[in-house]
Amino acid sequence: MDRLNISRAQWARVEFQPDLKNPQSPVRLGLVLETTESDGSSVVVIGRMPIIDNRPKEFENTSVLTMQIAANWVNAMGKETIDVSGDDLFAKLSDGWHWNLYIVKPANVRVTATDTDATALAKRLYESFVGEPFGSMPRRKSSAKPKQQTQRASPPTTRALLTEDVPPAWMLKEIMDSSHLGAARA
Amino acid sequence: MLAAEVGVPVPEIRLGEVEGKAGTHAISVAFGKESIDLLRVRQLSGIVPGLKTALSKGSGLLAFHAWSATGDLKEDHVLVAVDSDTDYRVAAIDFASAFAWDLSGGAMATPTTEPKGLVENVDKVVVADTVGRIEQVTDQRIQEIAEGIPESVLPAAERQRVVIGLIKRRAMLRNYMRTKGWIA
Repeated sequence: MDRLNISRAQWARVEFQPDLKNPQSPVRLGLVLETTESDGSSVVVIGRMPIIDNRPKEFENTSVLTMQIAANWVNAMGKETIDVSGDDLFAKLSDGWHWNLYIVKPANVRVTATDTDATALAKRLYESFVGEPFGSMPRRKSSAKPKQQTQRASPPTTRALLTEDVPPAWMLKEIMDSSHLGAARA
Repeated sequence: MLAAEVGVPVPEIRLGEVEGKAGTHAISVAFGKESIDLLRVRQLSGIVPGLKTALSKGSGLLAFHAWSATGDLKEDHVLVAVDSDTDYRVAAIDFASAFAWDLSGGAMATPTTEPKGLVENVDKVVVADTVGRIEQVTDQRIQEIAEGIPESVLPAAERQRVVIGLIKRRAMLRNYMRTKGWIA
């Protein structure tokens, strides 16, 4: 197996607080993971997003404007990770994401032998934080609808995946956005 | 407290300690059930009619920014409280760059073109009312407000510099607002 040597990893949880005036238990949405490997650094943004027209109860009283943010946060946050130097990544993200949808102070990750790459590590952290495996939601077949895929103009090493899962229980879609930033950032 | 005195929307700030960190910190009280900075709102939905109205109502902030010499003016520092899908309120946050004048009180130099949303939606009546309220704050009241800030946050010499500047700038404010075309 081609095992990457992750020398350092930090992650920050991403949560949603429906009411800043009368705080409730925050909704656990996902995380941002930054890893430093032998050939560079990677950033993975992984999480679940509510579907605007089929809201989970945690988002029932949320305005359309805030729903637009919650329903697209992985893509939006992923774009903001591009070309940010390592030490500044979480500081930059917390500058822009500190209201209802926010990132929590980053923490170091203890990497284990089973973490073969940044994506696998992100999925493990997602499961421990959100409480269910990433990609475990039941898929809804949708042959009539073309498959969605997010696109970015640059950099070419950046890839993004968007599933079409529309689970009846959480009414959320899971999404992962990852970028490999090359040795320049190592 | 200064903002509340002249009736401009700035979320309440409370001074206190933060667990695990040294020194006194300024903690901003939540402004709305849902809050979003204006820059993100503009990117998401543009300036919808309800928000345009809220920005006009909040345009007195331009006079307050001029009085307090707030320099780091941008739409990230205008907070939009979303009360419903059609009702919005705006407030200014982050005054870290304010009050940085010398004993002369400095020149009136800001705002100019930012925060764009406020500048583009000026209500001259709102701005004039705000200028009027600022002009009514007495020297004594400015001194009292400054004395309400703990010595550890604003030492005596700094306090006096700020008070002198607020008094001097209060006298220059109306003319600056006129030159900007924000009051009749």
